[in-house]
Amino acid sequence: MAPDAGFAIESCWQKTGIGGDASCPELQKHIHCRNCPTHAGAASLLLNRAPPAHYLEEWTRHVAQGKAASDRAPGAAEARAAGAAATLSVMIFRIAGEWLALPTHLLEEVAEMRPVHSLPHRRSGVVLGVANIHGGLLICVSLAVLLGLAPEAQQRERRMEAKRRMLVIGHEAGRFVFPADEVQGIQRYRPDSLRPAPATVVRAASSYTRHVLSWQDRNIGYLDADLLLDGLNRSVA
Amino acid sequence: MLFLLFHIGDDPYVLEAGCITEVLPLVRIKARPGPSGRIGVINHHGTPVPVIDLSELILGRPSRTQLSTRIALIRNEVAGGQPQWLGLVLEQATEALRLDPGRFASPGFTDGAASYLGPVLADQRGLIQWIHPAKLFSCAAGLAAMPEPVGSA
Repeated sequence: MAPDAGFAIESCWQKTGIGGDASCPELQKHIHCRNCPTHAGAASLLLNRAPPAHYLEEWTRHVAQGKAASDRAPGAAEARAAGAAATLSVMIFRIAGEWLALPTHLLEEVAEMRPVHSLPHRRSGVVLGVANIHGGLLICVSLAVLLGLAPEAQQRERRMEAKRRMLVIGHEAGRFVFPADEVQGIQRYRPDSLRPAPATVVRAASSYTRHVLSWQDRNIGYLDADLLLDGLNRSVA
Repeated sequence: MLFLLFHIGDDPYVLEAGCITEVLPLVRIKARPGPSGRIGVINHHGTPVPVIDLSELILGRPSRTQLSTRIALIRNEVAGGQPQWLGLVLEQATEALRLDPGRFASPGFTDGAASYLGPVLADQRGLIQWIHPAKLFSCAAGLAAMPEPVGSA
């Protein structure tokens, strides 16, 4: 109990309850003290403490900022939705040494790493095999091979291994899963923050990258979803 | 029906959860100059919202500054106009509970001035009284006697 509470809490759970000699008759009904309303009542008594220093100032500042109450009136939601449609939501991930982005609507799921079962006569190339995603088999592809990105050094650290994820992408044109070395998350951009990719880039990645975005002082390639799915479908065929 | 339980003094009161837009932690309330300290203004995301301290209104003493003291924002639709907002300072607003509205009964007398006090329900916590938020708006207007309802700014 905090010393500044200014009142005592009768901690029966330490005397006659689970923490004590378990002689409390209520235990028959509640099995454990945490199910007992007395315990819950004591917990809410903790909220009768005086607020810590700067609590009022901090919340006053927080409540003063942000959207006005009148913005939550009916109709404001539609206006916000229209504003949101004007922003571009992208998923940022890393393959080999390259940070890339895909439109978020293409992404279905970020999954843990799982075994990829190789397919006969498909030992190399873009298709890695098939992977089990929620009981369904999806074709696992290597974007590193498709985009021609230099493979990472073989002795990958254990720490980096923990960051690897499987990304499930696709829509009507086909669903795929591919491993990424790291997934950063979803970022929003204004459409005008897309800049055309430099025409001098010679790597194959440039054929799928029409634009670049800035993220944390880095330039990341924004992959064209249609081109990428076309490319993947061609590789699978 | 879901209600927010709070206390005025030692007595339990409830507000219907459906009329509450937001429950804020206790924030600094700009006091209104004048003899009545019952109404103040808070800055809610840039909009001034009038606030009534229910302990002050009913008991004549301000709510204790505790973690369990919170401000509930309630909203009043005005036909053909901007909705009105009102903040209520509630002590020990720590619990939401489901109660049967049919079990509430009239306390047997009618409060002329305090018409926001509704029917009561006998419970193990005591007699829980239902507060009518809509009546509080007219009460706030009477307390403040402001030229136009605040919150529509």
